[in-house]
Amino acid sequence: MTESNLLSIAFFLYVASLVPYVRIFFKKTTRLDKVASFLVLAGFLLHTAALAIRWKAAGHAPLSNMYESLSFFSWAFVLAFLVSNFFLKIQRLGFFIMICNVAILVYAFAHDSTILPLMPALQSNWLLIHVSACFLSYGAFAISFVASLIYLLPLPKKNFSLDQLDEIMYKTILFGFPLLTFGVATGAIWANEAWGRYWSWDPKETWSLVTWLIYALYLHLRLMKAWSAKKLAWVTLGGFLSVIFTYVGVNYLLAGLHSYAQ
Amino acid sequence: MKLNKLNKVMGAFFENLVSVRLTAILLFILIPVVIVGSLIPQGRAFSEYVHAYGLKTAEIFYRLYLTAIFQSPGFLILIVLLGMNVLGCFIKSLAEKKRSLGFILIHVSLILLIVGGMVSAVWRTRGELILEEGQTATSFESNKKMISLGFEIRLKDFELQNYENQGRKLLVFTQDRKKPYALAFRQGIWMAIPGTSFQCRVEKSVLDFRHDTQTGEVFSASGKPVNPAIQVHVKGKDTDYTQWVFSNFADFHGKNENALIFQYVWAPEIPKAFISHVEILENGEVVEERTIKVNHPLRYKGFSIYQASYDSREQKWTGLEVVKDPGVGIIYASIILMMLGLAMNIYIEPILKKKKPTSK
Repeated sequence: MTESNLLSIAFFLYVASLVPYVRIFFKKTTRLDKVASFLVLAGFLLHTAALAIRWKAAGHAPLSNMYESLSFFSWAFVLAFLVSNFFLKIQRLGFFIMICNVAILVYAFAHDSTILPLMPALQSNWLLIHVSACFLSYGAFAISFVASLIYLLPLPKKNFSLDQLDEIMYKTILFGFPLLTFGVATGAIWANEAWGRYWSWDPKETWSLVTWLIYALYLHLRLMKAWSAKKLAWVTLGGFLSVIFTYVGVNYLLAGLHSYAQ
Repeated sequence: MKLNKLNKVMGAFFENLVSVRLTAILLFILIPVVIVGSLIPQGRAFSEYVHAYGLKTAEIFYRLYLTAIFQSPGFLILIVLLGMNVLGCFIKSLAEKKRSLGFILIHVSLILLIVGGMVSAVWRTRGELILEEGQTATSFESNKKMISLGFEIRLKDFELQNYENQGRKLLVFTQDRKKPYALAFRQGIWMAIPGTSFQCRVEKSVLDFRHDTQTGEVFSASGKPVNPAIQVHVKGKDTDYTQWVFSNFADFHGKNENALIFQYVWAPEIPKAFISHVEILENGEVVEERTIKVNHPLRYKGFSIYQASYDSREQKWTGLEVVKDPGVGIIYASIILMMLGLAMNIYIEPILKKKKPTSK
């Protein structure tokens, strides 16, 4: 099986999981819960195998271009979903999470998937450490984003408690924040090894700082208990928009040292 | 009475200084400031801003420090206030014995981060060395001052390695061979063609071939590889001619009567490594031979020397960046403390709390 075949099957399994998840969104049914979980888990395992095959074929972690990073982002998102579901029981968010995940993969498929050799700047062990930490945090933040969307959208909330959604936002941000910090910090160390400056206000760096500041603000506001959960949901939404701009927007709108990320 | 009032005001000031509310307010201000700094290009020449935004807007940008936000007094005040706020919260928590080890580590790390940044801003020296092969340097310029290295550095050789089987190729068909010779693409350098008395040199290369019929000039219509072509100069016994060879139209010249037939295969070059082979000299003696590559700087006597640029045409010179930054150690220490603090505060302490039996 090639990487592309495995990823395609994983994609179809993710798409197939949408069917039980629609039902689960409106009504909790234990039987469909298991079907949906099985489809996502099977998709995730195949996705993992696809990443492993690509890693072996390329000789480096599959994190060096937009196609590879989107595929990894999708993988991290599903991993965050599985972990969050284990601890926080968020199966009812599954439909929205898998819709977003399918969209990420569709966007990935729109990019060139050719394996290219690594350019000199990326030939470092920090590639795996820095990029994977950032994307694992993005996966957690994506879950908080979905929770904030459901909190803010005029959707039927009979199956959701707003407190539960607030808790999901808080816990996933709390989980993702140290990972993002680690990602930004290792990026600074890598930059110092490659260019002799740990911080150069490059647009990608600056926007990762903006993202970090927004989530730091969220955690402080929640600590103060001065803001309503609804306002905090808006901050969560803003945080994830900043994630998206850091990841995609900067590549196309602001030139900088991370131009290879396109 | 006046003293009491002053005490009250000072008390309120300090109370606010150590509050989470001030942290939130400062973060609220900092976020849009940083965003503006990313949207407006920083540290460019005034003329560039005039060209991009017009004279009036450029003047406003300059007056409001928007072209150097991260070096502006306003930004510095924000950072100092944030530092004081973090320090205040840290001291308060120590005094009240309220906070966990994780909290303490995070706040110490933030203070160190700000201190490290300031140490770097004040005491960092950084400069560029352009060395041609065989050339030696003993000092570099940083902030219009000459800084002595305390040793000599000499470039022995600069090497550009490209990935094999990637990039441009020049194929040469000779009359006695069906299989062509593949020559590595090197512009401006004479290359002998194996098995013949000919040699060839790529004189020009264009990505998007256009020919001005009036002047006879050839130019590239765009920077994209729409119609890549090269001009090849061939020399041999009683032979001396040039011809254009097209990547997209291998048979452009029809039946070729020359002894050699060229084929140009265009593909983007993918560099594998930029390597500066250097020698370190002390008192005129070579004490070490080292290589400098991207991600592998040379560290010697407190200086770090990085591969920064190179001669893309002939690989005869290299551009090295020399850095001495006493803030780096502090920044690394702050990173370690921050990660330990976050892991303690967010991952470990909640688990330990859960495991502790709750007293009734």
